[in-house]
Amino acid sequence: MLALESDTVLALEQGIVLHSLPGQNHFFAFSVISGDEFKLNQTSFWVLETIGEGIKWDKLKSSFLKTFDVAPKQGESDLREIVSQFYKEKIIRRRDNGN
Amino acid sequence: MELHLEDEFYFQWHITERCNKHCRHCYQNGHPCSELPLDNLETILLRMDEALKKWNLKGSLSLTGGEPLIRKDELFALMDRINRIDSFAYYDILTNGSLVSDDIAAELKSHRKLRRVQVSLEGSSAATNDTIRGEGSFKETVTAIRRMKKHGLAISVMTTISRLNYQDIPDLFALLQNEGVDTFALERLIPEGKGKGLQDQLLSPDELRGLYESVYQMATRSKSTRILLYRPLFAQIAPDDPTVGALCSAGNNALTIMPDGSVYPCRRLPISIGNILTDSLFSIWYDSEVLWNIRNPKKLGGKCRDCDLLANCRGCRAMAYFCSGDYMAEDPQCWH
Repeated sequence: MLALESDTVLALEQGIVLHSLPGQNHFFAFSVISGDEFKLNQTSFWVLETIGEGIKWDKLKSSFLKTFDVAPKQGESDLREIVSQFYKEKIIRRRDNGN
Repeated sequence: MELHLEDEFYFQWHITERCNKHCRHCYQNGHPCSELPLDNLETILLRMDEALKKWNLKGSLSLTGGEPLIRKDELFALMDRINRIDSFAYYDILTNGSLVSDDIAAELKSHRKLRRVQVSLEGSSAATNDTIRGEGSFKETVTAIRRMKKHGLAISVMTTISRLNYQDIPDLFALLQNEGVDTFALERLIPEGKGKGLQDQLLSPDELRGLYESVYQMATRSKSTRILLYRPLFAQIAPDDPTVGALCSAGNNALTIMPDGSVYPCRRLPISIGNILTDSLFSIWYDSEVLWNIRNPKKLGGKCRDCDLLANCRGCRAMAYFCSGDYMAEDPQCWH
């Protein structure tokens, strides 16, 4: 289980690359290390792009709520679910102590 | 054995650039390219195997050169290894045929995953063929076809289309049928490598259309030799026939490996996108900007960009590259 505090820094796992073909509604994350391939929807792709090399949970949450038209409580709940799933799938990691 | 495209990943693997022929239309530029020793070639096979397993795809290969039989010891060693790797369904050998003796034909036949041997003919007679491939080449190739057929090998013939030979294609096809050739493939001349000097021999869009229409007629009438029609632009000839036309496999389900391990999207599009010995195949396949451009129809230029046939044809990126300098430009031979 991923504990998300306001200053928790999230980052893409090593070897994860993001690519999209927006005109065809195709959004992907790939691991160039393991070869794993993840098909995403546009919202999930936005979350991963925003996480990138590192972002604090608070900042991610506020950007998400600003970008998507969703009630704050519901938005935070949705985002937690998306982020937890990414963590479980090893697409993102916690970046602690500047690592 | 034939695979459906969606089940298959194809590697065209050039194990040498050395060749005993000097064809005028060749895509090689004549510069020497370093070759890998057998242990490196085996490492490459293992990397392909790892990727195929991850993708849950069956692999097919074309082992070629240059002339691959110039490295026959390494070639046969590789074939032995491929036979033992489950993820490879089959492979073809692309050769000019000149080094195929009875012993070599017998050795080829003993490899169970060898699907076909492909040789090249540019015309139905020495007059047409040897102008392009060199004196004596026609006789040598027909002899090789007969020899390999005698040993029970399936044979494919490939022809590179240009003004030097396109009017001879019906006679060539008749010859191939008489010789019991199994499949016939046509590729367009790309003005690259030595073939750069033949730029003025490229067919015009109308000439190509006329040829493709007649080839389609030949293909539908033929009861023996099968003509392979899954090439870009063919889609326009018979849009409702699923055996005709196909998206180019570059960026889709194929890669080309060069003798030094360099990886290209296609042998005819010689833009290096990595090296299979120093970069992982996953990294090349998932993260190459060139491949992502090719995959993205919105990045196509000219009339290719808004074409109503995009689902089945995006032109030849190599033709665009060598005619305009931009591999995303429109296919200059398209008549649509």
